Order: sequence, then structure tokens, then C-alpha cells
Amino acid sequence: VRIAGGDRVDEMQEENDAVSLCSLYAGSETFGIDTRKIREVLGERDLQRVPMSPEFIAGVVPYRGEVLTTVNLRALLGIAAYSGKGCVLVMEDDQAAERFGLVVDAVGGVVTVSQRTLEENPCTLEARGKWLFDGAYKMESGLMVRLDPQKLCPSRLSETGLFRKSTNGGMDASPDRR
Amino acid sequence: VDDLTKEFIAESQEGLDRMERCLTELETRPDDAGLLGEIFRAVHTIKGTTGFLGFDRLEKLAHAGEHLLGSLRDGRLAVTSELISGLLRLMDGLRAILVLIEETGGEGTRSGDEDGELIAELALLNGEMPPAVIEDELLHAVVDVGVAAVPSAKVSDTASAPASAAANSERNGAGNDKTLRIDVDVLNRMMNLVGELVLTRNQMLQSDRSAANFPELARRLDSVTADLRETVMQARMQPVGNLFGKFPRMVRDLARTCGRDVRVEFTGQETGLDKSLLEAIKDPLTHAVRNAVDHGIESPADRVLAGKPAEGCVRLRAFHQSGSVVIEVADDGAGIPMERVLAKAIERNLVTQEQAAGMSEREALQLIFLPGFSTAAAVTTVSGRGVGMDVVRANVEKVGGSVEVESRRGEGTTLRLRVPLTLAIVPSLVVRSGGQSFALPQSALVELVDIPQREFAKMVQRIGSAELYRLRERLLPMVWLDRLLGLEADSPETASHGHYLAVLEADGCRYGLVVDDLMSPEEIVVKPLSPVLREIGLFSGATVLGNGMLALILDVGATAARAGVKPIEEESVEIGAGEAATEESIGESFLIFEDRARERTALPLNMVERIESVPLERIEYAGGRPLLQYRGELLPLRDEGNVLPDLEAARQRGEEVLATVLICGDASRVGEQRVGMVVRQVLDVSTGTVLEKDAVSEAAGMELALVKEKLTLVRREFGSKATTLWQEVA
Repeated sequence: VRIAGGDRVDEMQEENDAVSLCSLYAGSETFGIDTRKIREVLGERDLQRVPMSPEFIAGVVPYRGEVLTTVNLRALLGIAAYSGKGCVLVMEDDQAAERFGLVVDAVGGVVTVSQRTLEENPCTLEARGKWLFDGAYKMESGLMVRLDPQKLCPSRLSETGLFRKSTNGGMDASPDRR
Repeated sequence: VDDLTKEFIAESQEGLDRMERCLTELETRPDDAGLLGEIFRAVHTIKGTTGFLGFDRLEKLAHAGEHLLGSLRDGRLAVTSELISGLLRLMDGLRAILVLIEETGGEGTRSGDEDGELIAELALLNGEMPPAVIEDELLHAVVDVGVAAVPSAKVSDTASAPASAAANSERNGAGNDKTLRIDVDVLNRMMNLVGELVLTRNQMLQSDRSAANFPELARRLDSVTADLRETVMQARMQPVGNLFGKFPRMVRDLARTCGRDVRVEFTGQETGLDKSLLEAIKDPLTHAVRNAVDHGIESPADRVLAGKPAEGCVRLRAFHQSGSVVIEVADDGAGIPMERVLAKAIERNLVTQEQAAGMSEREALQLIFLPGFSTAAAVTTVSGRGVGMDVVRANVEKVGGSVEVESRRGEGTTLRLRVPLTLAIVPSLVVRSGGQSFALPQSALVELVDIPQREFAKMVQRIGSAELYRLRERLLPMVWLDRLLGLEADSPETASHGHYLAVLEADGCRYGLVVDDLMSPEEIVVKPLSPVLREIGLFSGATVLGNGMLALILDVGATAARAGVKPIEEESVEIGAGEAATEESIGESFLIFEDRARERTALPLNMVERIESVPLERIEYAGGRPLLQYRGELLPLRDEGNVLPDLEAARQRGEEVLATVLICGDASRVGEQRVGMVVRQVLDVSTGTVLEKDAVSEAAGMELALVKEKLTLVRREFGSKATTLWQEVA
């Protein structure tokens, strides 16, 4: 973080502007979630699968005396399952009132980016992408797609019906493609 | 609402609860000064505190009540039914204001005139009192309403009383949910234990796994956890009496509406039950009590005709029995009319005419638990509104309990609710299927059957695509857990050692769940699942096992429904509730088997440790006596039915023969050697009555018993003899 000079207005500007993001990886893409919305990074965990659950549910994992339901980011993106153990992040739950975990391939680190580098979702994005992604930050290394944990909450995912498992076992094709 | 007011409300409600109990008792014992004192204190306390808190409306009403009670206490008034009704209404009035304060923070004035009416009524009841004594505000109230309203007030609200009482108690129930009174000692103990827990954790963090004191620390952690668990459980335990408390009033009101004369008796109010369970059985129990008053007890005239006292009696009894709490609702009414039950069941197409004709009384009784069943001739305000016994049973089963009913014509009906001590911790059996662990609640588990791979084809029979297992000549539908859940087929390793069949019973369904392996029985702590996973409908929760892995808890009833298992009335009735009901009165279970030449013989079940199927080749002979090498010990076999020669003959014909051996040992006698009994066939496990000993059978170490209404020989005391026999051989 650049330390602002004596100018007060500048300092305010700087504080509002900088966002800490936790970077995470799924497939070949990089994602970012606001660190304030992450409760804890659990790291690699063995997940207990839940039979008959929607495709996007990775399984359940014990967490602080509770049974935490986890959402598999890869399944949401429609890419093949990760070969290794997934990394579990626990989302902050003050608004959704439903605590859940997100399973990704790996967690990078905390990066601070300027809010000004955020671009909105492209209008050409298909429906599922529009639901999942919340814009992207232009980083030097490429784009970091922002995720909104509130929209990844399992009950909301199942409400949308976008990610429902079809009878053939695969994911439903998105309405746009059909 | 500030803390002071909250405390006041909680305290007043408790006082009113006490008052309610005392009032109904006062009616039966009008001269009990202690009861009167208690009631007076409750009202007086409210009056005193309200003045201080500034709730004028409440104070006025309480004051009027106190005044009336004062006259009663001084002996200027006699206890009459009207007086009790008036005092009960006073209590309702006070409660209503308390609820209003709790909800809004103020006592409100909208329904203010009601109080005036009530106060006037109380004044009227206190009629002997000279007008001069009427205090200002009381006079004021009477004047407010107008004198004309006074006589009408007396008649008007008899009808509305039950309704408002019901509403009140519901609201009270809701209020009580949030707060709980805990003994300070218990709380201190909890705090101490938590302190201990923190200390142990600190030590554990500082020492590493290989440290010498690590096992000791782990042990301490274990004991602290166990203590803490117990203490928390204790804190959650509430006396059943809290639940019983509202029944005298309810029964009184109900009895009046139905034109019955009913008294309530309690025993075992101090029996503790987990708070959540207490809540869960509140409705079923209320329903049962209502049923007892409305359907059970006859009108006074009918009772006198039947030679019974005009006043009926509903007895509520709570007691502990083998790890669960039993709550009984017994009435001394007419009993359940069997022919009407059957007629109704046929009318509703629940059973066919032929089925009904062949039903025993006990089987027919179970029909009342079927959905859509009610024998009430007419829908009354209290019963017959479609909330049937099926709901009672469903609610109790939801918390892992069971319901039994017993009825004797002309003598009454007893309904027994059996619930586990606590909800949070459930004894279960952990099983594996498709590479995953699942927990099955022990309460639903009837028995376990091992199906070795080589016998699989022989034991499993098919009708179309449905697989059935023949268990003691009964066909049991088989449900494959892995197939049902869409899990991967079993690994080659499980295929070689066969499968296990867990015989489960829930919602009247009995089926065999096929699993790959049985793990240990464990006391599991139930954790709720998130809504998305609850939607699947097959799992009632999840739990963390001893090895740190998660296991899903299978909802046995829902699994049956998903697999399409339909309730089988006749059979499940006979085995399930029926047996449990007789268990209490007789208390002995027998294993029935065929011994010599088709003769039914039984052994007390507690003497049989295991039933083994042994290939005949494994039975060896020493000195002409059969022996079996069994788990590293040499087991003498007894073959009194001459089964072995028959089997031997079959083997000569080239068949592969298995001998059924009961491994018997008397657990009560330490160090005694076990004995194997060769039998022809195991028939059943059932309860029975031991008949009077007769000289002949006693000499042979046998007794006669009635098991399933058939005469059966019972063997006892054979262990010691067998041992001596064996020593001779050695």
C-alpha cells in the first residue's frame, strides 16, 4: 500500500479505493473474494460426499462443532473435478444467515487492488456466468474474476435453478445456449 | 422491555403457573389453607411489584383478586365451583396483561374494559363483603362498566374460557422457550469444567504428541468432556411436572364442555426430560389427555350405570425405564370399542373385511394409529378435528420415541409414550455402504443379519426385480443402500465377504437395508444439515465419528418411503408395538427353536449369546461327544434333539449341510463355560409367560411357558450340568 502524503482528501480516497482480495484458483482461472467476506481458510480437507445432493455440493466437512456444507466452484463453472484435494474456505455469514464453505483448487494469498481497476461483467456472458461472477479486476498478470459469496450460498444456488442437475447426470445447459 | 420488567414477567408467570395448579387442587381440597396461601401469595406478589413498576391496569386487577382471596382466606367465603372459575378467569386476565407487557412493553388500554367486567365479577363473587369495604378503584371500575353489566358478566365467558386458556398456554409455551431456569450450582459446575477444559487445552498445546504426559492429558480431556456433557444435559433436564402443570386446568375446562366429571392424578412429576424433548411431546401429550377426557371417559350417568364412580380419573404417570422416559396417560373410561374400530377401518378402506375378521384385539388396536382414523361419532370442539393418533405417533417417532396403546373394555385405555432421555445424543450403529459411512439410529434397528457371499444366492429370493430375504419364514423387502443413494457399486473386497442386512422398522414399515459392512455402535451427536441437504429428505442430520470423519444419519422412515416400502399392518403390529406392550407385564423374552421332532422349545433370550451356522465338518467328536472349536475355545455341544445324526445323513447324500448352534452362556455367572446347543431351526424371538412349574418338567430342568399363546418348553439351569458332563469327558 502506498502511503499517502499529508493531503487528507488523498488519504480518504486511497482508503476507499483499496480492496484486499483473497485470490483463489479453479481450473485455469483466478478468482478473488473480498477478505472481509471470508471467515476462515481451512486449507485442504477431506470432504464427505452427500449422496443425492445437487452437483454443485462438494460435500460436508466438520467445522467448529457444526456440519458445514461446501460448494464446489469447479462444478459451478462446469469444469471437470479437481484431481487433488480441494481447499476449503469458510464464508462469512452475517447476512445470508447460512454458513457455507467454498471448495477451490488452491488459495493464493491476499492482494490489495484498487477499486478503480474493477470492470463489470461483460454483457455477452451467459446466464450462469452472470450469476457467479461479479466483475473482474484488471491485474498485471491478467484478469481476476470477483466472486460474491452471497450468491454462492447453496440455498440461493438451488433457488436459481441454473445449476440443477439434469437427468443424464451432467449439468443443465444454460438457457442462453439452448 | 427492560431487565427488571422481564424478570418480573418471568416470576409472575411462574407464580401464576403455581396458582393454576393450586386452584384446581383447591377445588378438591377446599379447606387446605396452604394452597390458599400459595394462591394469595402469587397474586399479592404481582400486585406489590406492579405498583412499583407502574403497571396500573395490572395492579387494579391483581388488587381485586387479592381482595377476593383475602375474604376466602379469612373464611368469609366458601370454595365453590363458580368461585374457582372466577379465580381462573382472574388468572387468565393477569396472564393476558403479562403477555401484552412482554410483547409491547406496555400494558395497553385497548381491551381495558374487559378488566372492569372481570373486576366487577370478582366483586360480585365477594358478595358478602359490605359495600363500605370496597376500595376506591374497585368502586370506580364497577361504576365504569355500569351495574347492568354485572349479572351478564357472570354467564358470558364460561364458553370462551377454554379457548382463551388454550391460547394463553400456547403463548406461555412460546415465551418459556427462550428462557430457562438453571440451578446456580449446575452453572458453577459448568464454568469450572470449562475452566478445566481450557487448562487442559493449554497444556496440550504446549506439550507435543510424543510427550510422556500426553496420554494422561488426553485422558483428562476425555473425563472433562464427559463431565461437561453430563452437566449440560443436567441443565437441560426439566421435570415433566412442568408439562403436567397445565393439564388440571385443561381437563377441568374440557370436562365441563363435554359434560364429564373428571379428576386428574399425577405421579413422577419430578422425572427429568430434555427441554427440547419436553417441547416435542407437549402436543402429542395434550392430544392424548384430550382424547382421554373426550373419548375415554363416559358421561357420569353412563358411568354410574356401568357400576363405576361418577367421577372419572385420568392418570398421568412418568417414569424411567431402560434409558428412556415413559409417560403414561391412563383413563378409567369405557376402553376402545373394538368393533367400532374395525367397522371404521373397513369403512375407510384401511383394511379389508377378511383382514378385519382375522385380527386379534391387539392388532385391531393398532389401527387407530393409521392416518385418517377417528372413531369419534361426531366432531366435537375438542376432538375429531383430523388430528389423529397417527399424528401423535408421528410426532413421538420423530424424536426417536414410540407410542403404545392398551385398552380393556369397560376398564379404560392406557396410552404410553416412550421417549429417549435426550435428543442431542443418539445411540446408533455406523454402517458402510459404497465407501461411505452412515449412522442408523438404534431405536429403529430390530436386528442384524450377516449374509455371507456364498449363501447370498440361496438366501435372497426374487419376485420380479424385487429382492426379498426370508427371515424366519417371513419375507422381508431388501433395500440396497448404495443403489438407493446412487453410490458406486461395492468394492471387490466387500463382494468377497458378503453383505449385512440391517432389519429396520419405522413408521410401521419393516425392511432389510443391505450394507457392505458394520462398524462400531456409537453414541453420536446429531448436527443439523443445511437446508439444501435437508431437501434431499433422506438424511436427518450428520455427525462426527470417533475417527474424525463425518457420517450422515439416515432417516429410516424416509428411506423406506423412497424405496417404496409400504407399511405392513398385521406383521409389524404384532412384532412391534404389541410385543413391547407385553414386555412390561411379563418381562421375559425367549428364543424359540425347534428341537426334537417338531417340538417347540425355548431358551431365555439372555442366555443365548449368538446363533451360529456351522458347516457340519467343523463339528468334531471326542469320546463320542460333539465339540466345536469356537473363537479359540473348545465348546461342548449338546444335541438333545438328535439333530446331528440327521444332518450327518444328509451330508452322506452329498449335500452341503450347516448346523445351527446356539452359543449359550449365563452372563450372570462368571467363569462358567459356554455351551453350544444344536437345534433344528430357530423360529422366533418372543415374550412369554412362565407357567406354574410342574414336577415332571422341573425334574428335567424344564419349565412350561406360554409363548405366543402356544405351549413351549423352556430350558433352564442346563449350564452347570453341561459343565460337569464336559469334565467327565476330559
